[in-house]
Amino acid sequence: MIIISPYSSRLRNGAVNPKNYPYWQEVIDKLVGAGHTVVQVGTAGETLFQKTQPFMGMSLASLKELVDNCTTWASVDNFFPHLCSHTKKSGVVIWSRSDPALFGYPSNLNLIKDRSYLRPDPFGWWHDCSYSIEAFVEPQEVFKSIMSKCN
Amino acid sequence: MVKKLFFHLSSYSMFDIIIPTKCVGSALDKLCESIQANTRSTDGQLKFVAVGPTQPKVSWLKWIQHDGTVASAINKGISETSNPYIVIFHDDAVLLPQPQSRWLDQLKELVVDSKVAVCGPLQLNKNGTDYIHFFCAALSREVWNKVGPLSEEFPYRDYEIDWCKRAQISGYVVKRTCDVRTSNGYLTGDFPIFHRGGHTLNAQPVPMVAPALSSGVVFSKVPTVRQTTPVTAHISTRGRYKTTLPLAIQSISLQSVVPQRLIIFDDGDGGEFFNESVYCHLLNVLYQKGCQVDIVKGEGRGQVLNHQKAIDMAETPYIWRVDDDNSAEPNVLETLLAHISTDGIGAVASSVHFPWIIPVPLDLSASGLIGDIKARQNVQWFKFSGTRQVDHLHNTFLFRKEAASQGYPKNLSVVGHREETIFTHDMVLQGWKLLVAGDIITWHLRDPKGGIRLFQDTSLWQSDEDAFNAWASSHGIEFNNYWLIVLDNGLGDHLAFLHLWPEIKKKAEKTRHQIMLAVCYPEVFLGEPVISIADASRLDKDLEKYSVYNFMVNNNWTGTLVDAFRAMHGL
Repeated sequence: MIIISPYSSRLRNGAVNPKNYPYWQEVIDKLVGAGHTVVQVGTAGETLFQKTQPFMGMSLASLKELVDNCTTWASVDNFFPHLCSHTKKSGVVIWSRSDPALFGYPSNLNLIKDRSYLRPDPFGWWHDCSYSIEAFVEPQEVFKSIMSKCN
Repeated sequence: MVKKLFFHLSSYSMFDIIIPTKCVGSALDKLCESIQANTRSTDGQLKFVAVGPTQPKVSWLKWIQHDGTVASAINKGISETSNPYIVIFHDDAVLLPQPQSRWLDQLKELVVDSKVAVCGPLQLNKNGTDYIHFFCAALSREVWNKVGPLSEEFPYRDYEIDWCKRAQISGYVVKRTCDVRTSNGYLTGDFPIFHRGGHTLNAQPVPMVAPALSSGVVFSKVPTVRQTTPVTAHISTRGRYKTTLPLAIQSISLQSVVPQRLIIFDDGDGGEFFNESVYCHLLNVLYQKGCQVDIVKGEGRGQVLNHQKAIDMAETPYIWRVDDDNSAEPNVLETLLAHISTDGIGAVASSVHFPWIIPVPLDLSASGLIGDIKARQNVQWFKFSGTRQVDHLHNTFLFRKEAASQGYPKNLSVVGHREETIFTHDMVLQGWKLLVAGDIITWHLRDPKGGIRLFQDTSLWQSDEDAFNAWASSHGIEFNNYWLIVLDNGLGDHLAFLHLWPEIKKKAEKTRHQIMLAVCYPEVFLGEPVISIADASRLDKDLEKYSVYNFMVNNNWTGTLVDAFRAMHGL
């Protein structure tokens, strides 16, 4: 079982959060094709991806228990890697415009396409930051990284 | 013409200084020292002559032996000297600290006028006769020869009244040097001098001691055109005459807006130091800028009494309190004035930084709450922009005189520990607001010598702390020993902070603090006592300083979020 936490919190201005990965469905398709069960976690109301089992609106304690029992996990830069840092399970984090050196954990595989995409103000408001699809790594790289954690 | 005469007077030996004295048991040496200290060394035209029964100890005085009255001694001295001008000093007079040769320049300016019979700092009137008191008087030999010597019908007193009357009948005038104020023998204004009185050649020997400067203004330098800035600045000083006091005075003199008056309370024994050239320069700068300077001899009973005296003496609506080891940057007073002009503001302080410490941005160790005074650090020591409202101020600040009606606490020891806390918080209790303006800096040099650091007895601080506790208790103030932590941020931030929670609890136990943890996501800390962000804002209105993101921004943070929390909480 592989857990994905695909969304970062919604922005106040309604714009897409620049941390949200645009190719989750491709990654999920590959994982399911490779024989894995993909569980999507998040808050109620978030869009569900196809071929996933949704576990939405779980308590932190239940989520932690779920992580303890998964093969690995993957997420964007959101609360989930921080939660997992309290478990013994490492995972894959997809970065775009935020800096893993500041907000990540070295125990995870931190996928960043190029540091040139990092926003100049690393502690500013996200609604001041534009979405850039070029800032993300390709789905194949994400798939490979998750698979490497499954071995 | 006058300028030409001045040139001559400055260039040649023109004055005989005649001092009737009994020498032994007199304060002649003190008078001579004070003349030397307050006279330019280039004014070499003075010839000192002591007239009395015994030889004076001061070796450079010419001694004319004479056993008689004051009047006869003066007559004898003048008759046996020859310079064109004469200054008479009584031996119980002492020149007080003043710019070099100020006294002499004033006498010169008047005595060269051929219409003037005699001039001096103290003009009196008796029975309709204006006269100059001869304890310090200058006259020309030409006039003296025309009017004649002093009448020995007046052996010890009133001889000058008789002489001045005769001079005026002959068509001369008497002139005082400038406006002066007199009090207990002290003349203040532009001719500061002390005259004990009644002891010159007194038949009954009275041991003369150097006149102790009593409380009250002993030196006053009043500019012709005074500043209109509605501020009186004051400094209470002790033992820092040769270290930080000149820096404090200079910083006042270099303000973009100069106060109209500076009162220096000398709580030690700094009289001699004020003669030194550095003070002459500083006071001259203030004089040029229209700031009246008064030096007040303190009673040696500590700074608090002097701070209170400053309030009593100030005639301006605002009072700027500066410590003798402060150095205010030039924009401080102007900015303080801009802030205090708002209605309801009782006092405003600048940041107070120390030259050997790089100030850090405001963080959770800072608090302006009175209840936090024992647990956290003063907001003034931190770096921030804009203003912060606080419960009390520290060290140096500008305040409204009308907000200080309660005065300074009267029950503290000579060190006055916590005095400014009580003083400023009393303003808050009366409904005034206090501000700290973060963009202006006063340097606190914290000189290890002088000030309250002259006192070694730690029980003084303890007794003041007891008094402070009693004051707080009487006003219902409770001191916090809590450690407020505010996580007004995202779920991920809470989870990152959670890594440090065991260390935080251990530290709190060690430092005996009660943790107050304010959170947005209580489920992260299940089983732990937490409070809401709204509750936290009731403890401290300024929650910005608790933000880990502000901490990272202010410190150009490049480490991890967890390490930022660690650094922020001093773990």
